[in-house]
Amino acid sequence: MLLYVLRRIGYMIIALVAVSFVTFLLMRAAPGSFLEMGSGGVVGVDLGLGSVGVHDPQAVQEFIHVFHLDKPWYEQYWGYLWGFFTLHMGTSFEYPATPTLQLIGQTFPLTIMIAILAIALAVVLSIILGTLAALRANSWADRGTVLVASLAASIPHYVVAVFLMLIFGVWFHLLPVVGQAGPKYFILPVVAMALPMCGSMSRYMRNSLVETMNSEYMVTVYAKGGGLRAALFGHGMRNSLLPFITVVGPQLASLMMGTVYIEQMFGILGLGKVFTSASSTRDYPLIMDSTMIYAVLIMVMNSLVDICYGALDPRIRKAQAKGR
Amino acid sequence: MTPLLQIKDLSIQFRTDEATVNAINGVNLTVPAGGAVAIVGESGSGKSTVMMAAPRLLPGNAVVHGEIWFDGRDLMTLNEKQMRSLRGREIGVIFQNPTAYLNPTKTIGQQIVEPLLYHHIASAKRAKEEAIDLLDQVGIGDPRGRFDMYPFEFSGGMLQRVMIAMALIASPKLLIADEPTTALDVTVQAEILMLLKKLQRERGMALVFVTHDLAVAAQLCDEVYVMYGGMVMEHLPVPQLVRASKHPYLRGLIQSIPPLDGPVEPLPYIPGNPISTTRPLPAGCIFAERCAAKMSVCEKRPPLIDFDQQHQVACWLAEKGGIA
Ligand SMILES: Nc1ncnc2c1ncn2[C@@H]1O[C@H](COP(=O)(O)OP(=O)(O)OP(=O)(O)O)[C@@H](O)[C@H]1O
Ligand SMILES: [Mg+2]
Repeated sequence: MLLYVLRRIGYMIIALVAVSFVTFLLMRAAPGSFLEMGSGGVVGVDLGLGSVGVHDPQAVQEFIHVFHLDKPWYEQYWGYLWGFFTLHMGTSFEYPATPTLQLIGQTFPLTIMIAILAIALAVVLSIILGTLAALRANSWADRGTVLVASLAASIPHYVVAVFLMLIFGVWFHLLPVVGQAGPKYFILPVVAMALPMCGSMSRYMRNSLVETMNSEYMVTVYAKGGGLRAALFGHGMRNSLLPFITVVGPQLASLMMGTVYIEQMFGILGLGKVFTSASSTRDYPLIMDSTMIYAVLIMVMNSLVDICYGALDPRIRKAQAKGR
Repeated sequence: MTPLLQIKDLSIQFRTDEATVNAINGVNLTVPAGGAVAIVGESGSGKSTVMMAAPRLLPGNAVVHGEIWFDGRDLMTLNEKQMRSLRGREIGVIFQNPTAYLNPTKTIGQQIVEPLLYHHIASAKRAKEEAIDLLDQVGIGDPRGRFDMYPFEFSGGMLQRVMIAMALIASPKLLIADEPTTALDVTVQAEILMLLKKLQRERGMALVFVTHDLAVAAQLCDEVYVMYGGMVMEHLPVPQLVRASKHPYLRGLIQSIPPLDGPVEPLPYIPGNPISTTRPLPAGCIFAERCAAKMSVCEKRPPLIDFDQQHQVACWLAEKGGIA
């Protein structure tokens, strides 16, 4: 078991190095620099480094020196990587007064909360819808959900978000659409993220359950005197959750990317917002750190999915216990 | 002996998208209480279909006509709830392939106790003790430890013992065994057969043993029904099987059993293919096209002719004393 965990962590570190390296390359390849595109690019605006503007060569020199931009690329890269792993990330270009760690600490909980609520809502909804569709397999209700599901799956988060804002915010004034002043504010963002996921996930749940309910060991359950309830809750659900969970995993990456759009649209100051503004101002340290945080998040969530899978499947659980 | 199970004029069609399968075409069959009856026939002759019709475990596309009297009730007229209270408690079933007919994600213990729990016969704790006791009786060593193991940790032969324990735990009056040893190797097969015989005697339980192996049927049972194309060709007591069998089909089957002693010679076999169940049945004898003793009278379908008490034959030859 320990070996398994260690190996898993090893893979994660390798993946993280790869992600950060690609990010670094792309970031350096992107045209423009913070000095032109960040808040300092507008002449005369306070950069936060004292009054530094692009027109002040001395201040620019100092800026370049402070952030090690005069060092060779590999030293810079290593600096970002080492800083991230040791949690000494320093500060970003844009917010030199706030350590990046603190910035992430403030925004990260919002994002992770939205993501977890969205995935939980999507999973619960998909299981309920998928089960109902499976029990009425091939009825008109089942076929109806196919249509809705394929619609939902082909509409992106942000379009769903606009519709929800329009219906619940603008027409019926039921829920706030922008801001983060209380729990109410998070309902629409979470729903907007969850709904598109439900489409494919509920179909998958349905197919998986139909297959389970038609398998041979279900005949045994009926032969023992079990009814539909025993078959469904005693045997079917758990077994169809196994394949279902494997499709939740791949959704996570797109879910995390979804937070970026959603935070932008609903005006929520989360990690996604930090990430987008860092990218558009070419705030190198912040791009690196927020990307790596995202990567770690996705990897941790994927591991959680694997752990759930193992807990449900005795074959994997026993194999892990033996420490394969 | 009063019959425990009496099947009258049973006919079963399977409706599929391509065709209607005439699986059973008028079968009469009687199982005395405490007796052991074998149903023998080639693959596709409808053995499983007949016997799965009794506990009404056929898939939804089966159309069943006829009467199935069990212990004074016509099962065809019972509702689903009444039927459920019979399954697993008065009628136990074991299947050909124990690996497929056991849920891979639940321990065998959980699965064995289910008949007792479904029928509220015992508390969970009592049920566990009974299961452990029964596992011991069917020859599983260390039943207490094995109770919490999963099907993948057992061999095929052990799983079939588990299936037997599961079918017997609620002490049914009738056990239906559908080719329980076909998936096992020969030595294990013999052990399971002996176990079944022993349990059947001890418990005074009726047994219907479905098999394609005439020799096995003769070892285990008191009487044999020989099926072909969804009909009974001959019914006779086992002691008369070799000397008094009348139907050319049964004769063919007997001759194709390899002798244990004597020189190795090519065995005679029945030429031709089993009758197609998807086409309309011929007007005459359904075995005629493969029959070496075909006569002109075979253009007309022979009824089951009473040859003797306990001995019926569906062949015109029976009137003349049977095939030479
Ligand atoms: N669910 C089904 N749908 C359609 N046809 C079926 C179904 N089940 C069985 N049949 C058909 O009914 C006929 C009898 O099948 P059955 O399974 O009873 O044969 P069997 O004698 O048990 O054969 P085997 O030795 O292979 O188990 C076959 O022609 C088979 O193809
Ligand atoms: Mg069969």
